[in-house]
Amino acid sequence: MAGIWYAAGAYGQEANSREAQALLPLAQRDVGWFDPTRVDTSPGRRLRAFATIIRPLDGNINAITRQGSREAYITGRRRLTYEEALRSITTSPRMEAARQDLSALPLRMGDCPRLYTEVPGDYQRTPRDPDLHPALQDLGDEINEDIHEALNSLDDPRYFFPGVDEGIEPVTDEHVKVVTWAMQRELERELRPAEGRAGLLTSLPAAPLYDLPWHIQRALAERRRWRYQQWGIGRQQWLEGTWSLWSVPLDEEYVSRRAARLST
Amino acid sequence: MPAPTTTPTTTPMTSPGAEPWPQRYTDPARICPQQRREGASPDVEP
Repeated sequence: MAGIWYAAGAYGQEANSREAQALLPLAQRDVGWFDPTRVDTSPGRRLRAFATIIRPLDGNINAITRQGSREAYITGRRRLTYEEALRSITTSPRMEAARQDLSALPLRMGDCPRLYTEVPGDYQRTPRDPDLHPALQDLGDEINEDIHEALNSLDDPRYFFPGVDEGIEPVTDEHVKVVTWAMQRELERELRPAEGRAGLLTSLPAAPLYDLPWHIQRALAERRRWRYQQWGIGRQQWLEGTWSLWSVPLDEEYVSRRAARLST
Repeated sequence: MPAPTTTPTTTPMTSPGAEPWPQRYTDPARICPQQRREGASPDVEP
């Protein structure tokens, strides 16, 4: 019986510690306590991406490694915060290998047999299309927030949803079409039961992006190009299929719009 | 004799800001994290 109580106490302590850590900004949070899929308003564009990539080494929480690796980048005398770990990898002369490692991360996860620059005439629906590297969750969320906002124009044709005039390569009409096609492709894959009707076979239709006014479709494509650029990803990185953590601006004030919206 | 009941001739309106507002389509903001990353369509040029 005493053992059970002891175990429960230890579990409670662990849970309390996890919750306390989750409330700290990443700059002060120990490595190992960031979950990019949770609503987390901690700021820092590069720091948030970095926090997704690294984790404590199994068996030594003072050592830090990359997700999917068993080799330590850093072996500290104490547990490091995310900011300390990022600063160490960024500035230490002994961290060149780690810097190299984080400069060519895969852009796409999952099978990607083909790259698209225009709407294909022979597209075959697949169970899954490639998704972004998990450390680019904020980029995916920003694009998703843009779609979420643009849909307001279905109810209000005068809804203000500006595109991007400067700072990106001009977007052609063909590009607007392929972006709308790709977004629609993903929305149609993700259908779910209507709210309050879980278990029924009826599901809500996908949002009809082709019904959006053309200027809204164009604004979405321009914003998407701009969002990628905000994470240091342009045509060259897309063709090569890699991205670099060091091309993501530090942007210490950045907070995910989705997290900001859901936390209020 | 009771007065005849008057039937309203206008349909009550619900504005999008008021609850409940029935969803007409799957809101992309409510899908799971992996599918939000998939929605960025990294196989399509930025």
